[in-house]
Amino acid sequence: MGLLTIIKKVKQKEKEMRILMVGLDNAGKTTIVKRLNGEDITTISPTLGFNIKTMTFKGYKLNIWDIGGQKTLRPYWRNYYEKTDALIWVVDSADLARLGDCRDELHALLKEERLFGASLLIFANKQDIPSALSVEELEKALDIGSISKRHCRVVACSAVDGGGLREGFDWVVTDISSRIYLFS
Amino acid sequence: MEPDHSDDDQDCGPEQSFFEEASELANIVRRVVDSDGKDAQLVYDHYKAILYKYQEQSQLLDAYLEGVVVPLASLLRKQAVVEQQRGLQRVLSTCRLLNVLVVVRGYKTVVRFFPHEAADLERVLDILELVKGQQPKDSEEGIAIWEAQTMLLLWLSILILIPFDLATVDSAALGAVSGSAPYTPLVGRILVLCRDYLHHPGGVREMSGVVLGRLLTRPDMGAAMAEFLDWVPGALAAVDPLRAPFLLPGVMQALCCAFKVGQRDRLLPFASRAWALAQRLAAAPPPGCDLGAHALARKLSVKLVTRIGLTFLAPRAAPWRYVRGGASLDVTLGAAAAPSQLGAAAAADGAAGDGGGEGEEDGDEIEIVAEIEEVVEALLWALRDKDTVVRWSGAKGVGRVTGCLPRELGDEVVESVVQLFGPTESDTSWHGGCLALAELARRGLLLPERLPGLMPLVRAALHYDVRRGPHSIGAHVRDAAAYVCWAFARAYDPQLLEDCVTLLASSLLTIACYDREVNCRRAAAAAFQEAVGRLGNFPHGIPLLTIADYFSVGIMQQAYLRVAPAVAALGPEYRMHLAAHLVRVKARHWDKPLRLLAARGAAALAPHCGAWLAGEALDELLSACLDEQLEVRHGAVVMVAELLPALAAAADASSPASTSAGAACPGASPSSSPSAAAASDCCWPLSAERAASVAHLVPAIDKARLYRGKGGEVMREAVGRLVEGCAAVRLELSAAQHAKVLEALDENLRHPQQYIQAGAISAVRAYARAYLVPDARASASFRTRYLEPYLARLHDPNVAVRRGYSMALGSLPAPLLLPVLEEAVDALVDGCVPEEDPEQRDVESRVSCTRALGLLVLTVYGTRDDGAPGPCPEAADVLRDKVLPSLGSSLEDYTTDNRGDVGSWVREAAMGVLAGALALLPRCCGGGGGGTGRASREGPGEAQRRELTDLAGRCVGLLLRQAVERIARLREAALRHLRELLASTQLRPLVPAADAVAAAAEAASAAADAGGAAASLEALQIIAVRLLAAPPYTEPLLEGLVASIGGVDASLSKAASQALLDAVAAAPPPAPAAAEDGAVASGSGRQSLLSAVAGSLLDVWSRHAKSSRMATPLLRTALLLLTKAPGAADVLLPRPPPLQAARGALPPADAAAATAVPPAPPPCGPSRWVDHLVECGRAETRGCSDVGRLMEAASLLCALVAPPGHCRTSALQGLLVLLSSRYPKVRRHSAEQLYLQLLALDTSLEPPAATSTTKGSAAPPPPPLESVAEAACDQLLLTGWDGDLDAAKAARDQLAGLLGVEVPRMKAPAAGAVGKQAATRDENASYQALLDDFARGY
Repeated sequence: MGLLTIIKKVKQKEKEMRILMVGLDNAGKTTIVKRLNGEDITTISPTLGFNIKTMTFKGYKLNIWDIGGQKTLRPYWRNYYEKTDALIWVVDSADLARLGDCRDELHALLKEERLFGASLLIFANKQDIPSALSVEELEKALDIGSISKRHCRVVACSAVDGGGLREGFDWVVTDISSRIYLFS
Repeated sequence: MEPDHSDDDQDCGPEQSFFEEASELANIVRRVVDSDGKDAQLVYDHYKAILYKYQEQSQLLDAYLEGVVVPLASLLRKQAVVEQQRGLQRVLSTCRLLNVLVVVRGYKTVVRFFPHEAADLERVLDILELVKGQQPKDSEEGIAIWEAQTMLLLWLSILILIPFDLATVDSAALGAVSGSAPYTPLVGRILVLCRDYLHHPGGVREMSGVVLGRLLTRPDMGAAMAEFLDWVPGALAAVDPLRAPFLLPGVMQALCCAFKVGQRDRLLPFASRAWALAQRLAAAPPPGCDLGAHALARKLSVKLVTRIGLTFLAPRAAPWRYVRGGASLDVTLGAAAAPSQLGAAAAADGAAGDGGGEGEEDGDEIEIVAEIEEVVEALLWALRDKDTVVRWSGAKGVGRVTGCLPRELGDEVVESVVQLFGPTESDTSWHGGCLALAELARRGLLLPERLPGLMPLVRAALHYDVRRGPHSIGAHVRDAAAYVCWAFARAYDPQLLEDCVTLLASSLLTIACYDREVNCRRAAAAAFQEAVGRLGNFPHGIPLLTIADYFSVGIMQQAYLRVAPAVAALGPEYRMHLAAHLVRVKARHWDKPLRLLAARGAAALAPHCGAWLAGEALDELLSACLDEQLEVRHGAVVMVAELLPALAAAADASSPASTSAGAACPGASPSSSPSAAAASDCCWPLSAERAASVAHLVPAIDKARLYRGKGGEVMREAVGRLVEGCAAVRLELSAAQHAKVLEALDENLRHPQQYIQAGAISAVRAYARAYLVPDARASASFRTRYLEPYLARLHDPNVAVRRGYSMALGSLPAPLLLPVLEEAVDALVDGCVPEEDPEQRDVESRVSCTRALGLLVLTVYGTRDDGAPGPCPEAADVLRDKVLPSLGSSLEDYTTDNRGDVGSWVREAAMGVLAGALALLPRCCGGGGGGTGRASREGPGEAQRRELTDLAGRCVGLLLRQAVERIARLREAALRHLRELLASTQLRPLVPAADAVAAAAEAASAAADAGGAAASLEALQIIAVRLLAAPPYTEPLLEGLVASIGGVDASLSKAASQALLDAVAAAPPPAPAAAEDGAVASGSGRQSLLSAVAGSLLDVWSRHAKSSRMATPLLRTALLLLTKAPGAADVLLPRPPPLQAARGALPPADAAAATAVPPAPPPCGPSRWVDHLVECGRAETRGCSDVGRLMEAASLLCALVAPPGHCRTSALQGLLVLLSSRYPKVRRHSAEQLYLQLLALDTSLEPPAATSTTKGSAAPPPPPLESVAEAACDQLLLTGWDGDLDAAKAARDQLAGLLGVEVPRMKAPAAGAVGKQAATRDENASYQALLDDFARGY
């Protein structure tokens, strides 16, 4: 019974969920995580690499992997034991110039077979900015309709005022738990 | 086992991400329910197959469980009500379906869905008793009965939780007065039943434990618990010793379950008794049950101890535990509506937690009973247990119990756990200690103050490796230590680990790169990743993570040579740890391959920490080189050897100005590289005294007599490597040291171990190039001292000397060889020739001579250091007259011994050399494009060209022959070399039919690339069919095919036969005119392929007459052609008829003498192939004692009876001899074959007179065979040929008379002569001949 076996068991027993948070740079991933963690969000610098934060929600332990926006993120989820339960894709809803980029990256990521079966939550972040796209506009722009075979939801949110985050996590946790942990 | 993901997923089937067969399963369940359980048995297998796929990911089933369990359980309930009378078949089948679910998902999950109506309790019990009483008809039903009982008990376990007094559901108790008995009759029945089940092996025991645990802890069952505790000792004392190993864990399981599910305040009164019982069981198990060998019982005992301990203690989360600042989304997001309060809320939360902690701390004066101390003691002992499961349970128990203890006691427990990491403790204690530490850390019970003290222990555990005899143990400890690191990373805030971050990170990286076990490397890498992600303060964590990940550390060699240097390049703070670990730990590892890898790993680190390696590390290694312990000194010597060139190269790379020559001598001014990087400028050259002690190593090792005794060979090998390393950097040696080095090398060269020799050969190579070539005096003295023996002793009686010296000779540099070139070539060529005395022969020596010859010609002629590759007539002569013929004869080496066809090694080596040597030839001859001097003289140039073409054709023929022979490995090698040879632009124009050969070789290689035996045979066929018709290659290919056709391998033989026949059939058929007038040869020259093959066969036969390898294959091939190739019997050859046919009725005695010798006076003119063949076939029968071959010969001769003329007469004569052979089997076989042949003749219409006259043979025509055939057949049938020899002889004489054929009279003398010959040969071949005879069954 080595460490790798233990890790697998721990995940099952302690009702841990692994959530991968990705998106283009400056989408607000780390801000969301810090907001969730109740930390100060006034000064946030670009994430180099990744952070793991553990939080509890509805009796589950959420391991949130906040991964820097750079392309070299692959190695961080190509790892040992856990399959990713959910993917949170964070979009800067006000960054209209890079929406095309954002769409391509998202669809490329969804082809990754290791993420097969993971729930997909898209946070339409920065709703506090007046020019931000609405959920419907974003769904169209990101071509969400073409995503099949996967539970998917777009939620408007704002990391700065915290709006929408709870709704998003409610959905994601419920979705994962309906799939994996049926019983309390 | 560890969970293997990603790449390894394919092995264990695709991982599922959802339950695919959901609707299918639902249909099955519906079908079962609709049929009232009748179909349950039918669908069982399919149902089981579906569910078993999800064993590994059973949680995927959770969403669908309800849809399966509820209908099935309801069905079962219905059956329980109505089917008691109707037999239990349906109950059993339904239970089996449920059991599959329990197996896949576990009973705890499945049991929730069982119906639990109070009314069911009694029914289930009734039916359970019924099933228990059932006698199984067969084993299948036996299994079904046990499974059904398990399921019914499982159901029972949930039914007895009904929240009413059990008396109300007990029909028997309704009337009775319930005051007197402690419980109702129904409960009594359950208790009796379950107690009985506790004796059983199998699942019912566990289930009854669960039922008992639940039942005994019911609020209305107070007395039952006491009764059970009373019952246990008696039951255990009275139990049958054979049942004891089952009853003991059964009892423990029941108690465990009771103490786990029961209410603490109800159990507390029994806790002391239970504890006493548990102690007694652990101390004095019932007879027949050895706790030491019963891991399950020990594990359950530990669990029981934990549960009883927790009963003694008030359940609470230790208020003193450390809680890492984590957040709940409910708090943080709940406050989101009012963001300004967020910080305040978090602060308040923390304050509340703290305040609560303070508050509870006050209530710490809870009573701690005396037993707790014993409980903790028992759990700590369990951590030392020899079984992992027990230690694991112990660790969990320690964690659980400690969490309920007050702070001081908890701290004491931690202190005791720390004690497990003592130097005198066993590996199991360390492992248990690690598990316990990790458990405590995860529960927050290791207070941060403890951490600084724990870190050294964790580090020691990470490096735990204890020698036990020839191996070491500790992989499990290291793995568990990685678990501790993982747990720490999750449990603590980064600041708390700040002080030990580098220590932790470097230890983890060291293990991740350098551990011997793959699971430890991966575990360390996983822990490293967790730490990097959670703590974020590991230096260079992120980039290192991408280097040392799960996959890259999977292969040890890659981890050592790629990952570790990359880590060192990125993180300067890890370099020293990595290098020091290699030098101080892995260099003395018990595993020799690992020491060698460690040496290479250290060399790979040279660019990053050269200064330390060249300084302190080298000092340590040098002092270890003469260590008493073999592992230490071997590892040190090897590492020094690897480090020397690596350090020099590292210095070179960092300062391109300083050349290796400058670095060579330690005396050179160190200021020559002013621009060198700071890290490595001082790593090379070595300081004078270090260089001196390295130089002194070889003499010192010799002086310490380390070549002797155990481990001497290991040291020899290391010294060979050391000399190579020294030579690579041209380390300065004194004259005496040179002498010692040479002496050591010489001894290694003569060593019988091949790996030592191989090392010595590379060392000689490096040494000669480094020290001898630049120094004329040294090379002169080397020549006299060593080179002469090399030349002289290639026939030394000691085969090891031969092998080593020949290879050494081949690997010397050209300047040393040139003065003795001729002798060297002669010696090697001579070495390739098998010795006269069979006892002296050695295949490996010939292999190394052949290889050496190739090396030598390539060294001397291949790279001409004097400039342009000009023509070199001497070289051409040497190649043409000595080397190539020698290689040609090496390709004829078919030596076999008890290892099989060992000659194939020689042939393989010769093929490798052949292509290279041949490629040199055109260049040496000045052929090719720009012939300078010789091109003007047209005549010799043309002649030379023809000669070269001839030579090239012969060489290609030799390779082609190998390409159709028996061994697939050789066939592939031949194809490879053939393509190599044809790729040379200089050679290709010289090769006859080069394009066809190249195309065939390409096609065959492509076919062979598919892999497998069939593909290899296909390649053989391609070569044979395409090239057999090319004149220069007909004979070599045929010779190869003959060997394959006659081989013992049936599939090969079939393929080769088919290839030969296909090739013959594919060629244009012989012109009818040619067959008619016999002008085949003298005519147009368009010889048909068949006659070419036929002629070649005779040529091959004349070379291999009576050869033990080829004779049988030749007979078989001749028969094949004769019977399967149309027109073969009519082939005419442009050669004189055989002597016997020409002279007709000569006395056969003379004929025997003249066999296989071409007739002296050549009467020109065509002759029939069959006439030649019959003589060849008969020749093989004379003096032959190989029964198989005689039988083949008989078959051939019978086939030769068909064509009339000399052939028939001679064949009949041969057969008559075989009919009186001394082997009954041969006599019978000959008679049968002849009989069949005569029958065939009988029916065939053939004008005998016509043919025999056209033959023009001088023999008097025998009586037409057809007329006597019937009588002859009778004679053949009537005689018992395998009976008495004299009877057979008489019958044979009669037959001879009948056929009109004279019986050859020479038999007796000829046999005698042959016998004598055989006898003399036997004496010559002595032992080998004895073995051969033995193999033949004499």
